[in-house]
Amino acid sequence: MAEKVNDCIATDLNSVISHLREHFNDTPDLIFREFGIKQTGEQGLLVFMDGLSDKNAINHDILRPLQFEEGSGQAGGKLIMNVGHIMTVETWMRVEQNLLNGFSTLFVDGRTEAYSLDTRGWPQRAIEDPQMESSLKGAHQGFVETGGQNIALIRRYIPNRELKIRKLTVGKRGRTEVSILYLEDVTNKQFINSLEERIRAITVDVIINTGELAEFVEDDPYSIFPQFMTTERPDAAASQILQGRCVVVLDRSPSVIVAPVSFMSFFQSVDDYSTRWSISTFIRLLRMFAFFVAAFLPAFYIAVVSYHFEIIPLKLLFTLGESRGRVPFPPFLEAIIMELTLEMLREAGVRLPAPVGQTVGIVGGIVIGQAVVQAGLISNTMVIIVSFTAIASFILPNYDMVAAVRLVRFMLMVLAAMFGFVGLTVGLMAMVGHLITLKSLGMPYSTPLAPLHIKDWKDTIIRMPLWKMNKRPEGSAPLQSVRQGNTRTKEEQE
Amino acid sequence: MNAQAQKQKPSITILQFICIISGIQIGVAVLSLPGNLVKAAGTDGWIAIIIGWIIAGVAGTVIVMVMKNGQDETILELISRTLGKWAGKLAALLMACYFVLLTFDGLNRTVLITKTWLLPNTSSFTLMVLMLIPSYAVLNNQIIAVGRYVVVIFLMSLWVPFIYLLPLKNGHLLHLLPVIKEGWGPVFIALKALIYPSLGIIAAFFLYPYLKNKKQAVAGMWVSNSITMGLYLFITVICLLFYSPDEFIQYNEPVISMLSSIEFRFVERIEVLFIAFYIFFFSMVWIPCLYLTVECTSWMLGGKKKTLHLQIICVGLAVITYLLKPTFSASDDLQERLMWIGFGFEYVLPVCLLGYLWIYGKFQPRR
Amino acid sequence: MPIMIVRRGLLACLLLIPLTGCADQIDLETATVPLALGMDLDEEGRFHYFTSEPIFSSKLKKTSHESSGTSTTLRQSRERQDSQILGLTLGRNFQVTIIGKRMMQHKGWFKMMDVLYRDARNTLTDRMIMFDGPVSELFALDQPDQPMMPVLLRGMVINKSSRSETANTSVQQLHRQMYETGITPYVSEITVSNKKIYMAGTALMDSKGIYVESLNTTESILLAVLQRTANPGISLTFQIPGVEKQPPFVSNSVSISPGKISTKIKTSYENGKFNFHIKVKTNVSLTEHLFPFDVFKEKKELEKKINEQMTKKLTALVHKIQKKKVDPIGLGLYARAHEYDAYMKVKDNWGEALSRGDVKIEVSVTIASVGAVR
Repeated sequence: MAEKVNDCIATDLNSVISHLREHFNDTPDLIFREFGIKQTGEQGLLVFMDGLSDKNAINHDILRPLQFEEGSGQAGGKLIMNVGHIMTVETWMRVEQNLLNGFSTLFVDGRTEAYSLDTRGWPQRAIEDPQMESSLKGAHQGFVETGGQNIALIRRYIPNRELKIRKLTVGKRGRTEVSILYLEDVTNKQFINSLEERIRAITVDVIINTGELAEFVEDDPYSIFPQFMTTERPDAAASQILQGRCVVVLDRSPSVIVAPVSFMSFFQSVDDYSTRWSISTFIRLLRMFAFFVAAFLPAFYIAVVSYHFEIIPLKLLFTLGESRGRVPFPPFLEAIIMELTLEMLREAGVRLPAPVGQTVGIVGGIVIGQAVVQAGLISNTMVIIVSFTAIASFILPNYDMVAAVRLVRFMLMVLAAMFGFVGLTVGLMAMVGHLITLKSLGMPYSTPLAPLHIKDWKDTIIRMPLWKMNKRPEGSAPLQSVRQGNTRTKEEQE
Repeated sequence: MNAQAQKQKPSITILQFICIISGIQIGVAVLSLPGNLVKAAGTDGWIAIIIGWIIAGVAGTVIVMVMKNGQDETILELISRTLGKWAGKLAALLMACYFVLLTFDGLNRTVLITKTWLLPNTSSFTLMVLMLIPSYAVLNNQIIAVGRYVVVIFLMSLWVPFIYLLPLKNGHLLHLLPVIKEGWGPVFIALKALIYPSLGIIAAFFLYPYLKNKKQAVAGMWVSNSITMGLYLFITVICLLFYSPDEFIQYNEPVISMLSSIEFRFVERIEVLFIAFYIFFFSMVWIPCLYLTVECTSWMLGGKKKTLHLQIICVGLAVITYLLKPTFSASDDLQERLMWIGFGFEYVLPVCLLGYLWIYGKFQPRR
Repeated sequence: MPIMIVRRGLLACLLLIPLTGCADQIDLETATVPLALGMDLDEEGRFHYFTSEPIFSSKLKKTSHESSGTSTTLRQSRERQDSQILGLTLGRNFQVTIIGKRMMQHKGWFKMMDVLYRDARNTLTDRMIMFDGPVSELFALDQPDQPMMPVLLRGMVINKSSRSETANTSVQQLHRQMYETGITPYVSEITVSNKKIYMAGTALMDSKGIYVESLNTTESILLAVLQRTANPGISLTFQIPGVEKQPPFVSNSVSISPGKISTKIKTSYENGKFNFHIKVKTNVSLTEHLFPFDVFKEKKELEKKINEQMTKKLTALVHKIQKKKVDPIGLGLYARAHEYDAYMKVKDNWGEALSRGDVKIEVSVTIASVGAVR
């Protein structure tokens, strides 16, 4: 801070204006408003960014009391305004930042300090149902683009003073606010410290989205598996915090990061806790099965058809042989063509508005599927396999994991095409090897499986009744392991 | 972060300890064991397993007793402290050789079996490289990864023994009778066949310092031995029930051949799937052994650059496969040799060491 | 840093090596998967092989293709086969293996099957069948109204053997029966008459594998009773002597369907002879009796008569077996288990030893139900 002297704001209003004009040239949305302050009889200058600040507040709560209300009448006296949050700032740097964040700044002629008034009021979206993770029985409030509101949404679920927030700023140009939320008496300090350390180490212009932040702080950026979970549901975030994890809220981004997470967390959804435990156990097992289907089925098919067709039961062999006999492509190529078509359809559907997206789905799924088989380009078994795979991948509740599974699928297909089942086994081995060495914030990624925590299986592979889950998961090494007492007495259980 | 990780000494749980040792023992050895036992003692071979269980258990206990003499150090550090620096280096070299042989044997067998049953026309070299890729992925980390990997494989393979109950439909209890048909002589001769399949307890020399709760070590040794020998007994008895005693010796790998007779309605030739899955199982030999090799060589040369050592050994293994073109007979030969080398390392050495340490301990305070 | 790059590069190269290997890839449509394997000798004693493979096409009317030829070994025959057809021949999907009777009468035919056991990719669950006649006849059979011959034969063997009317010997089990000294091999037997395939029963072979005798379906059932492999569901019919017949109907018949049969075999060795005492005990349900008879009053008497008849039939079967010096029952296994030393002396000639032995059979049948009508 060698230029500290120069950084001090000017006392003279004219030099303030010229300084700001000089620094904010070509910034027509910076508004200057000069007026006389009736309260003290001094000359005032209000500067704010048009569009980022709330005009109503400026008109009614700042300009009106200052201009028309009686005050002490002494120069340098206290200014009375109807604004909740007033900051006294003394440096140009802070002034600039605050202006750009929607604060309006009041300069008073002759004073060495300026006042940043919280009139933030940028265009905002109303709180809506989450788009990506819709839930049947859960809450219908999703995160929005304002960090403060998102924190408020989480606080609504955990109104406890142990819920602490560490506030950091990231990005030289963007100066995005990043808040780490955690429970002081539960969450392991190691996670918070290493998360903070990593976020502090980021030196970039700006971080627009949570995905970017996650990429900067991930343990293994080369892995195809997501090591942090993003969610746009406050209830999900809150329940993760209660399990001893941290949540990172990034201002301007409608989703939050949950860390550390394990591989199995990607198979859980909030709805699991609002449906009956037997059913959600079944659904969890189904998801696990779906993961394997989505990752392995096309590869398995290729391996069977081009290496190990002796395992096909006789009756199926005839049908399979017949449908394969008409197809000009080898199984691998056939599978790749179909998988790529499917991926294209999916991408096409995502970007298009909902009604058009549906049409694309119908055209792709039914028309192309039917025609391609009839034309003898693709065997109908392959179409079945690919659609089965697609359905299986839709069952997984987390988008990032689905995306990872897609890549895994292609890798396994290549391996299967080269080595049959041996390739598949080696692929699975490499995947297991990778997953067990992977870490999320230093916590083992494959936690309840490796290292083995049988007790955590209650809420990972299956879901036991809630009143049986009295401890927090061991995997995330919570400081306080007891989550709840015995809800049901012995007699009731009988 | 790195400094933090290094400060924390890695530790393994008792379960990982058990699984690593059992894994090295069972691995590829389970395939040839029933055949070897039957060759030596006919249908009474299974009795030898019970005797072998006690012997291997005692050997394991001796190893733990040796390790109790040291304070949180591996066997190499213990040797160099008590016997001198150069003795330590020599021990490291010898053990590295031993482990690299075990690794090579495991990989070699896997490649050969894969070739026979699944991919007869693919070159051994290609398969070897293929097997080394996931090993490298696991081993690029510390002992923790090895422990976790082996536990996962164990969990994943828990259902395999149940499949072996299916061929029992065609089993005949009469094969086992009469018990002790040729007297106890052949049973004791058959003990020789159990040396090779019990190799692996030596891993305790290296795992002990990492063990979280050292008091459980002896129990862990016995549990892992019981798992190993229990599985051997199970498989051997099933093989004996399924194959007629006269027919048994006709098969090279009775444990795999037996699967050929399983029939399901929804899938034929189930053994193809199984052999592919067995690669997983076999990897429990070579992955820990490869880790131990790297541990020995890197300790010998100063304890740095483990990754480089791993890379050199992997490349070396691949090159050797390329040059040697593995065959079953060479592999059998290697197993025969390993049996005696292993006997020296895992049964004789610990006893000698224990004796030496006892004397060393007697004389030490007088100095 | 450059060293790191070089090392990474080398590793990457090593990873690329596996890309070269797809030598084992054979797509389903390019492969020819014979479902039946036939072997036979012709009049001049030349070795013939036959295969039947399905054609994966809906356009052709015929669903299977038969190929045949002569060669010295089975493995060699593969090249011959490949020259005849579109794809590559593989022995991975055999459903049945058929051996001609003539070939089975020659010592050493089993050695011809070596490749089935040696090449680990071949099936071992295909069922062994002996064909009474030249195998070429079977493979030339074209039956549009029936499933493909291999599928039909396998289905026949599996279904009939579930009712014990024939043997259920897979190639794997044949291996056991050939090498085990305490048992002689037996396989299913089929015949063709009027262009139709019939299940004839069981073919018995001696310890060298040479065909010696056939059992019809009834005898096969009785054999299964002695082998302790008979499942509930089998059916036995006896003619009771002393009951008046009304020709042309054989109205002195009674049919029973045993439930679980318990067969106990006791072994002893005396005076250089093996003695077996076989006790068959079962609860049966009466499925048919064609003569007037009060089941409630005369139940004991009928049971006695059935016992007598069954004992007679079983004894006849055992005598037949002893006469041919074979042992499909596997009595040798019992002999080894209980009289080890004596057995080891005659081990290599067990059939001979059994023929000199004594087999006593005792049947005790209890009628548990008589059906829906009186």
